[in-house]
Amino acid sequence: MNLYTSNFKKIAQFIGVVLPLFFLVSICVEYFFEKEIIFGNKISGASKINRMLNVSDENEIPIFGSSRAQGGFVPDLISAYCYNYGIDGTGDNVILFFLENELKKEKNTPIIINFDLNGISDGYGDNNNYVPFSNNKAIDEVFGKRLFFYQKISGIKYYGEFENYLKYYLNDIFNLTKKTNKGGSFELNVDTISLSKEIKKRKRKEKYEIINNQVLYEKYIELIKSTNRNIIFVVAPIHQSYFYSIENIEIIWSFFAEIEKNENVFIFNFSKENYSNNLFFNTTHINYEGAKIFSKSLRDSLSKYYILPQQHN
Amino acid sequence: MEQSAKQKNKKMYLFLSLATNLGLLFSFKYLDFFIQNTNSVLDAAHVDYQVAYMELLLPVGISFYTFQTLSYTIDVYNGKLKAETHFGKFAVFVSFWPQLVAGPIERAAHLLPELKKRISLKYENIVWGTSKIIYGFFKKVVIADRLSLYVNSIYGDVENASSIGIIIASVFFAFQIYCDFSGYSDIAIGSAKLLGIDLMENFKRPYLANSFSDFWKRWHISLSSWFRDYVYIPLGGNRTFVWKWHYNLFITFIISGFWHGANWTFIIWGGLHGIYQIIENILKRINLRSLNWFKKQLYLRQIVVFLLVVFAWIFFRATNFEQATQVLAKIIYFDYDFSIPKICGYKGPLNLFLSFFGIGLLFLSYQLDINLKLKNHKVFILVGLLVILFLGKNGESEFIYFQF
Repeated sequence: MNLYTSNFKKIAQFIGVVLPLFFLVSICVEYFFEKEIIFGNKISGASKINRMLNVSDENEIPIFGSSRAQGGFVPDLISAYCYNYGIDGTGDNVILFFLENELKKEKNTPIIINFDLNGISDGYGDNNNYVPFSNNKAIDEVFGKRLFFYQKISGIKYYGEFENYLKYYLNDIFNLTKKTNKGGSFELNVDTISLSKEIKKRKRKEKYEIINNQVLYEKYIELIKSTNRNIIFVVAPIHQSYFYSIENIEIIWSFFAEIEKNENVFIFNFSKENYSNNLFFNTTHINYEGAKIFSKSLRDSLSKYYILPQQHN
Repeated sequence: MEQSAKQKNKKMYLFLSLATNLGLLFSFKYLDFFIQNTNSVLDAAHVDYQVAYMELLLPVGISFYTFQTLSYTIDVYNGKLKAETHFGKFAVFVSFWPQLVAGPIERAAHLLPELKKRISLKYENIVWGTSKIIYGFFKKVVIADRLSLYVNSIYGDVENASSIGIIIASVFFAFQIYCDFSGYSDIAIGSAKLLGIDLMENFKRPYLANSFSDFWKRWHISLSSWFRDYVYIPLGGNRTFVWKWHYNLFITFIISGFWHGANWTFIIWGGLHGIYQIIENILKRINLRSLNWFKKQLYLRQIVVFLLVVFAWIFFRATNFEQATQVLAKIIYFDYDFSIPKICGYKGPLNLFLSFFGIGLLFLSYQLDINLKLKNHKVFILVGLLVILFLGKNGESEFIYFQF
């Protein structure tokens, strides 16, 4: 018997047993993990994308934005119909993705968008937001290029990410390090020493210039004009030291002036509210205490304009 | 060199080879360190001149293959090995891909004959090699990369860390560097075995050592044996007066520390291990009741050796001497700060739990045969792959020893 042939057969048999078994176990675990853990919590980016694509609640008032939305808007304190779709690390490209999908639904509730003062820009956040949808054409077109090749292969696509999803799940259930509420996730701890250091650093750092992404800018205008639904742009409270960092803040106000011409657009700017240090997690994000105060203020402001639907008991 | 009849010529060739190899290593790795220290001396002497830094890019693996080729040259000089006449085979010996970047540092007497064997695809080799590679990846991505998150978060901000956080991070670093380096070695050994080539074992569960001499027979075996054969023994080893013996030990460890990097912290790390060995040798000769009792306590000795090794790792991990003293000060002047967010670090309690869990898995894996002779490799590989899939961190950090 040819030694090489017999060895090759044995090796092929070995691989033929181990690999299929591996994929069988991993795909089964993946299925249950997706169902129970990834989509079983409300605060991960993946669960929010899943909800946007697969759930249509005609009374829901969505809140879109980045970590400032996620950590600053307490849905139950604004309205019983609110849901927080904010995703950490994301930019206006993701907000516009959500907005576009939301406008496809047959609804007439207002839409709240948290607008950041760093200009209209791209931001994708973590890849784990998109891995569960690697086989979804719509998501793949927009976000597919961000994923590594193995993140598109069933059985191994969650490699390195199990812990991240589990963390969201545990945080949502136990609220150990963060308080959660309908997609919102709020910082409980405050490190005043780090905050003071950050404030001093901002004052010493060189100012930077805001540049708006023109493609996304035009997209905002296009989507606003395409609907009659009220679109509410909100600038969440920010530590006043943040303004030391920006060279040309008027570029933001120009954008607001442009979109405010549309009757369905409302702008609420809380950036100049002088919140005390103990309401901040860092210079650009409020903590849970700050979020509670801000959410109540926002609710009061929105009520004045009769924008929020009446709550039925 | 081998063909030279005159000893004088042999020595000249040896010197030329050593000078070239060590000269290259010095230039790429240590030149800026000496320039930095020269500038400090000039500064202290108020001399208004600073030597310019060369900022040469360090070739990957230079410390490893330099020592590998030096051992070849010295063995040929000493007549322990016949010179390799085939340039291609010698080139493969120097640049054999599994161990080029971070060892094991092979001896020509062992590796050259291996490379001359006919490459064959054997089932037993494939299976054992794959198991070894899986075990290496388990140590690297499940344990080392996980621990690095906590260690980096604490050592990246020592000033704001709590004492307990620093102690945990220091212990974690001991396991991080072990799993990182031994993981790489396992992958290298396993990869070579796929081709039927045997490389030497580089680690033998070093944190189970019950003495420092035992530790150095288990840790980075290829390097420690290299220093023993080419530095310690030529200096005289232990076949001399006691004070000279201790001097030889100390110098060998200082050089070993320096090999790791151009920083005083590595030299201090090496020096500490030299001191540990010297004290151990002295204590071995003392006949005290309490000491004799201690010598019989295996687990206690393992713990003491481990804690002293962790202490030395503090200097290895610290970016400079000031940071090392800052870390030590935080440990000595314990702050009793048990705040959970500080202890958990910025990655949170789940990461801390998984870090401890990973170390637990490592000790569980010690139930396996040390040479990985398993009854059922299929089960091991399957379980290993699943553990890596579910608990692995996707590669954000490279192997620590790549920097050497």
